[in-house]
Amino acid sequence: MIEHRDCAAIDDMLPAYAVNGLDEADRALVEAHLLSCERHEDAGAWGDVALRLADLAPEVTPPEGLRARILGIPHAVPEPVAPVEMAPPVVSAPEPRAAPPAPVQDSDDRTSTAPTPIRGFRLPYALAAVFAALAVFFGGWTAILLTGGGDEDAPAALAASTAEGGIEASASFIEDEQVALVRFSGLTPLPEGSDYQLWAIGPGQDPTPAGILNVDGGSVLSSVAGQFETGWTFAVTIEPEGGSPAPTSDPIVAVTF
Amino acid sequence: MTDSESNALLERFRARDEAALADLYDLMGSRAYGLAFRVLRDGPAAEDVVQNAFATLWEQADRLDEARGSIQGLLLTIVHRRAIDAARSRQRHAAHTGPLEVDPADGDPTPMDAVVASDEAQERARDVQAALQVLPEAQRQVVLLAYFEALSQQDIAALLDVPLGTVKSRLRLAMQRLRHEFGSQDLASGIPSSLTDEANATSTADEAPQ
Repeated sequence: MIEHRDCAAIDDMLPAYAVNGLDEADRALVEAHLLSCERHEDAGAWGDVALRLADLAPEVTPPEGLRARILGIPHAVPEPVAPVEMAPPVVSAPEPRAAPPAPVQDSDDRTSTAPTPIRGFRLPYALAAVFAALAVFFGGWTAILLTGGGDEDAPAALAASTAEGGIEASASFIEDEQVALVRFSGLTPLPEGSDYQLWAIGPGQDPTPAGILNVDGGSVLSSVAGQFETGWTFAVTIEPEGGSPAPTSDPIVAVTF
Repeated sequence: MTDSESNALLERFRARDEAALADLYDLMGSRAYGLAFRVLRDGPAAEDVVQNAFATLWEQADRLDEARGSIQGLLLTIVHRRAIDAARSRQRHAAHTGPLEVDPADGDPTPMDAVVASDEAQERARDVQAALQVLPEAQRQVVLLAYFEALSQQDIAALLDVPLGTVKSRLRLAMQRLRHEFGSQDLASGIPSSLTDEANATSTADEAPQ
């Protein structure tokens, strides 16, 4: 890792940065430098080279369902400038880790209606910086020759949002795809040994595990398959690393359709 | 898609026209998913990456600027970045169970029955392959290990058992030569005229640690 952040050193690192060949520390150095230095107008050309390498990857038909989930993004990702309609959570939001474990009885009859956790994934939300760096870096290659079109949308059948203690949560249900998109922002990284775990809770039902949220200080968007109706709640608890079969602490945030 | 059509798509994105999201997906979904799959070799993880990248674009739509390039290119840039991050995260978790295992000779893991073999895609791939063939094998190897195997220069040095400086040198020279081959617009001012000689020197400049 270099420590002297001069422009020549950064220029030397740009080709490797372009192919994501730097380790995290050097990548952070490059991005921090690009954001504060306007002398690297040439940087975008390396991005163009890297983009050409993407052509080596065969185009692959995505799995069914991905399209509908992507079309549901506007309902899960609120516009920054738009007022967000608030819905009161039905689960209180005490201080993280404050409460002792609250065992929840498992239910035998939830298998047929319980949502299937797909996966949680991390939005690159240190994003203001990362995206800006990408935008600075990204060049002018426009030789994309594919054609295509699409016109359908997948409106959210249900949507809700809330904000508690600096944590924002929103959820939307894409009926066509039978999937809920749940987004949280403001979650702070946890120390080793613990994870944020998402739960789906039907009216009168026990919480069902819905995935681990990978948080690095930014925003998290997770998709959960299932049939959801008014009254369903998505809640987050702090659990031992890897998650728990049932919550062992009170929710720190919850959003309810 | 022409530049003006691409710019129009970007403008619709910036205006948060939800139909633009569908259009971009229909235009780029198979390329984005194919790229993520090539890096991750894991369908569900590749789906996450693609969904993540689209969400990023949507969330940051007001920052888009056609002067920086096409929205299609930016999408692929983000997809690759997130795929690399996901692959490295997986590698870190696997590190507890054993050493890094990457065989540089491993081929493309993409399931061929799902490949969209369009003429345009094949032509683009052939162009890139042709450029790569100009590189010395040692340089070609580090480019592919970094771009598709999610290895940092340090990882590559460890894998190949060569000094880190050698890997950095190979990668830099390879990228310079590829840039030349791809005909980047600012080649004349950015790349030394001795580039070709440097890139072809497989056992001299190429091996000199920086």
